[in-house]
Amino acid sequence: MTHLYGILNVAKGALHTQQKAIDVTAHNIANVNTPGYSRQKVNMVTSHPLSSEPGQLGTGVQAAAIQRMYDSFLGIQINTESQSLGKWEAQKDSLQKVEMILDESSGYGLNGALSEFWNAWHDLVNEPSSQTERAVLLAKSESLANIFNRISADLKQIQRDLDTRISGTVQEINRIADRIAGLNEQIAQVEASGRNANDLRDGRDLLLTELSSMIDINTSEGPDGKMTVLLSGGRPLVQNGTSWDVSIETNASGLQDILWLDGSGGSVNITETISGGALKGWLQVRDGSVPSYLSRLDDMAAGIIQAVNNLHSSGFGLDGSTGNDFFVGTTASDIGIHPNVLGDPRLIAAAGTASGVPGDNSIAIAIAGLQDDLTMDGNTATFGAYYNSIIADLGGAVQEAAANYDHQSAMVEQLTGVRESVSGVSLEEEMVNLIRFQHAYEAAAKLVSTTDELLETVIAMV
Amino acid sequence: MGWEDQMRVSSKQMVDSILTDILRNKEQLNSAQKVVSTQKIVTKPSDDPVAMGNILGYRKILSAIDQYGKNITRGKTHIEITESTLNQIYDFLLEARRLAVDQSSGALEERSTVAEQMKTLYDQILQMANTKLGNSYIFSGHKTDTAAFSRDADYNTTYHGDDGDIRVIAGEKVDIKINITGADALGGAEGVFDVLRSVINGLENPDTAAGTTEIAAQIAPLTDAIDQLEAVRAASASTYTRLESTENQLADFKVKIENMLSGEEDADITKAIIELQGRQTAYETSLAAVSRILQSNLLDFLR
Repeated sequence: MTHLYGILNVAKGALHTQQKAIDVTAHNIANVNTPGYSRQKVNMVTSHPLSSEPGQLGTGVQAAAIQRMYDSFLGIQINTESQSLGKWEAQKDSLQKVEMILDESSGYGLNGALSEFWNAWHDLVNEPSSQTERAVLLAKSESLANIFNRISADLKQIQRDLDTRISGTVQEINRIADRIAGLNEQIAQVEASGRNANDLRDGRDLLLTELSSMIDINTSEGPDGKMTVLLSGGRPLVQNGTSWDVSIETNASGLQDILWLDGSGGSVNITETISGGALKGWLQVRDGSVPSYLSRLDDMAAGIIQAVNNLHSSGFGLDGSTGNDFFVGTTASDIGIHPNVLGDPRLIAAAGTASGVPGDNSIAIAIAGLQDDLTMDGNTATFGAYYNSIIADLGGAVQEAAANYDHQSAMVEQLTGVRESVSGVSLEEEMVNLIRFQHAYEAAAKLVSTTDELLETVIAMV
Repeated sequence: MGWEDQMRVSSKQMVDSILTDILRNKEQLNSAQKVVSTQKIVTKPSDDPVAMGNILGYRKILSAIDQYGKNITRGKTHIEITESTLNQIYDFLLEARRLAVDQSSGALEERSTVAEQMKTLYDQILQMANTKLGNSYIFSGHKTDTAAFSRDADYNTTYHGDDGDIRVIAGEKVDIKINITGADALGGAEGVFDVLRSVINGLENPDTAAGTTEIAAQIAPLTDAIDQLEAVRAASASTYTRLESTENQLADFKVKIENMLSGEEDADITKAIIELQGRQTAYETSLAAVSRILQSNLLDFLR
């Protein structure tokens, strides 16, 4: 009799277990498209057997655990590569914006404006006493100055745009860190009672990957299931259930520095130590690339201002005056035409001697000749060549960032593919499993009805 | 994990990898399209940084070449006007010498008429010497706003210009003097005007015999003045030739640079179109393959 009821127990266990398996299959199917989801499966083990005649009798099946199919090493690898990917993507996008500012494709960039500026001096050489050529020269000069101003302003705007992104990302990092700390607590609680916190872990892993794309982190999981997240320099971001914050602060150049807050009122400037993630990419462009282009443009503008003014102030205008500057300003952002000259084109000095006015065009010739003088780069490059080298360097930087991005992309893609092959849901597989568990369930149900009939037979015997 | 040794493809992975491939094909199709529509293979520095640097350099050279051409044309125009003016003056001087030669050997009756003729020639030459190109006097050196010569009632002439050079830029660090000053052409120790004045004085001398001697004494100086004029014209002509040959060299050079620019920048259209078609096909093929794959499903077979 006990054996008959034993069979019922076995059937009951089988029904429960197969139903649980179907539950898990349902969960997998439902989450086939969920990002970061790792498929789960029920670990079925035989129940503890009983000693009996003639040998040990099995007591059916039980669900030992719901296992999450996951390769933690892959997870760490993906996060590491995501840091590089985030960095190169951020760098590539930002540098492409810089490239758009220095656009020379239409022929109306600084290169073209510079050529037209020199040509306008040539025209003045040809007609040193004419008002028309002077008016045109002023127009072309203003054009040149405006382009310098615009490029300088646009580059600085890019720096501010990057700051906006940086501050947004810093806030996001704090949010994610908080959530990871919360999940740490929850996972530890659940797993303390011996159950796997599968979905919670999926959630935490997704957050970690997201975090990796923003900033470089080191992660390690403790024996209690809590994940420790460290920033560069070993500073904790998340430990157990606590999260630290990062913050921003305006520095001497008017841009944002990134600080780590130690929680008791102190802070450490970590701007220089960040080495991965989108933050690094943006910082690299904001603090490295853009300032270098800005300073070279400033050098170029300063060179033009100085060279032209030196010659111009030694020359004589149509009104006989001398000592007049043509340009004002010292950098690309403030280069402009001297208001006196703008107000009275006769002040433009084409002549080299007071007595030579108006036909003497020797100063105009000298200024026009500046375009071929090796004035830049330690006297090895002309203005035009110096600018061309800035453009070429920019192009090279964009190319390098794009190539690295492509390479990293492919690597992350491949790693993700491998992870998907371990953790991803295959609908065909789940379909087949569904049929499998359904049949097992039906068979177990048959067990119940069979046992029921057996019991009736026994009862009828009495 | 025994059976996980083969590559297991999850449903999401299938879709993701297909999507990635389609997007990649699309991106390549897009860039091929851009090449065909712009007809350029380099539109931004990152397309080819070295080429971009060269392109900017060539553009600057072409702009400079065009400007040199413009400068040279300006110079040639100046010399052409100078030349035709000096040619006129030359003719006038020949006429003046002919008259002087006639009068130096007698013919007293017409002397007053000839004197008038000589005065007219003098004024005509003076007028020629004050020719303007646009608003500038071409024989005044740097003093282009001042007439080169003026005379008083006694036919004494003063030169108001200076000895300044007017130069045009014909090439890199090459500037060429294109003007002739009135002093060089018509001035000097015994300039044209001084000689003519002496001839006029001689013609108007009531003492006809002394007058004849005066006139005769001016023949040689007059010839010298004509020679001086011719020498200046010859120098001007050789400058003109130099300008023209520079112009031709620049034209040749421009063609070369344009070719080099095109080589760096322009797309080979045939090649670009073939490339475009190839990528179009690749894109469409991947789309067709995807539609096949995405539609089959185990569920279709489990009914």
